[in-house]
Amino acid sequence: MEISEKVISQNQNVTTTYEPRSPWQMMIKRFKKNKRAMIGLYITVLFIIVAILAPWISPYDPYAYNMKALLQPPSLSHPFGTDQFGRDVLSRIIHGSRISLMIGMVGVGISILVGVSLGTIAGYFGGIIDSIIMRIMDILLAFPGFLLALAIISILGPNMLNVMIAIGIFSIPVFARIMRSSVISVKYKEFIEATKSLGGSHFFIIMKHVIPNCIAPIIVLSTMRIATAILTAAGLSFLGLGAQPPSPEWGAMLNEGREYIRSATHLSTVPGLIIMLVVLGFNMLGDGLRDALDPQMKI
Amino acid sequence: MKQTLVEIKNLKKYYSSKKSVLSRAVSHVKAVDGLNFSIFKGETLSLVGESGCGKSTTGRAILQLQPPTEGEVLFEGENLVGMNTGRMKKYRRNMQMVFQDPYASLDPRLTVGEIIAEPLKIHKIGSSKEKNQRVEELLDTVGLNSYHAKRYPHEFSGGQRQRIGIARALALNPKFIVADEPVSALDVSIQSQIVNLFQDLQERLDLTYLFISHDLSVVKHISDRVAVMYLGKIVELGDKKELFQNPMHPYTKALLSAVPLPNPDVKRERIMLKGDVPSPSNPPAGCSFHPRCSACMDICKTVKPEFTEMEGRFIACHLYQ
Repeated sequence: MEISEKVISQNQNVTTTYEPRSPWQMMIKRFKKNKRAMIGLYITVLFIIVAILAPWISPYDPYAYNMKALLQPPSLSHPFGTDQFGRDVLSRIIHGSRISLMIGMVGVGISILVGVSLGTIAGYFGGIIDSIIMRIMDILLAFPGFLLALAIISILGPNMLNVMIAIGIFSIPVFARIMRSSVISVKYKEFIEATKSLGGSHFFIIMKHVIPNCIAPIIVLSTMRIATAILTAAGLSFLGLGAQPPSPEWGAMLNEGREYIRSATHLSTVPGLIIMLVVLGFNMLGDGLRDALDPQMKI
Repeated sequence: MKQTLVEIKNLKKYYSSKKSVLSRAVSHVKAVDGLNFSIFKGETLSLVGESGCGKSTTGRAILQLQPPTEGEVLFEGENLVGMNTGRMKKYRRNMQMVFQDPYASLDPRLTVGEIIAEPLKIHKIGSSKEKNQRVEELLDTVGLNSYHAKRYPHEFSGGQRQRIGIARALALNPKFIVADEPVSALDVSIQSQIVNLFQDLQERLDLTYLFISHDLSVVKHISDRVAVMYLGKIVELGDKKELFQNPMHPYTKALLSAVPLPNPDVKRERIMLKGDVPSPSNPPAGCSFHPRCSACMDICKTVKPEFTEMEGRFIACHLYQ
């Protein structure tokens, strides 16, 4: 015992400046070392800031017609040119970011809420509950995501809210599966048994121990799924099933620009490039988060 | 007469597995197969045996972490088996567990303070200030410092983590602690510290231990009585001194002959057991030890030996009946 006390007192001297580091703090440190992840983070943050500040930073009204400046190529006064009604493309892109961000957030929010709950219940309780939930998820997963979204839109009708619901639904099984497998890997850990032996209820164990230890893959998946959601929403709008004109949704802009692809290439290329950039940014961020959260984890 | 704290009557834990999805045939793994013993107040009863003999399952079945298939667990005369969750929660305050793996038994996302305060939170004891006070007190009790409360488990060594696990188990002032191989994952130098801590706490807090271990030298040091398990059954139970000096059951003899002696010059006959432990899903008929027993008689192959008392010693062997 004497020896151990000595060790402890030595520790005290050495570690006076020592800051406790949580798993999150270690993750941030790993993340910062990853250049690609940081680029992804910058793109994502820029996109979010632009979306929030859209009404204040856009140079023109995105809906205002200007018959004196139709289909103008990029210039100093219109950096991304103007469209067939003389609307400033840059302003429309800036306002469009709000729509994309909202679709991404709300759509993925719906799938996290439903998918994580279902996955947790299935993984934690197992047995027949697990079988029922996961077979339903398998059925949903059997449809190609875009096709499922198309089917849901055709039932609910084409508008922005329904796009979000459709995107939310088609991501549910992905979240449920990932959550279920992490829950199963966590629920047999000894610290769960320790809480049981302390008398903790199932609800307490799930909220305090199971979910916090399973959240890392969900964060990664959410980032990646926001990219998918934005892409899908743009695709649906391109087909005329999502945002309706004159809404400055990027996919819809791409569709409108399609008719002028020979005379005014910028009308379709600019929204296309922006969609690509944002999706790339989210994916790079997701990859970086995955590597930082758990170097062994692969989705 | 010593006071009985926990009494185990005919405790059984079977795990069943279906042989295939369609067939109805079920095979049972008899992890624990009919245990009868008592744990007296203030003593340390050790449960020894080789891996897979059902030691840990016994501990978990007593604490109802894995509901027993059959039998009774009487804690201060009250049967815990089949008790509803609400009442069980009250009893959980009296009995706690210290786990084998100090790396897996602490949630990596919580600080040490949160881990130790968890039992208080579950049982809604005290304000947050009182909880902090209790956490500091407990850290001090197990030989850690109060500033450790803000750190995370991964910043500690195995021995320190085990101390944290012990602090958590002590938070509710339990009477009875099941220690499931609490030192086998630690370095030998740390083992002695933790074993001494266990003994020290027993004296100060008037605890009763069920100490599960496969390490006979640790068992010899810490226990008052020892129970030897083989294939889901207790083959011999008795006072530590007597059992170590004069083992009666052939399995106990073989087990004790494997303990390394500190003096290399002492010559001793090492009893080597033949063969492997039989599968607990298909234990041999009669005495489950008979295929490996050097003193095997005809009766051993057909009749199960009763677990009977002999001069204060409990033994299940035909040699002594």
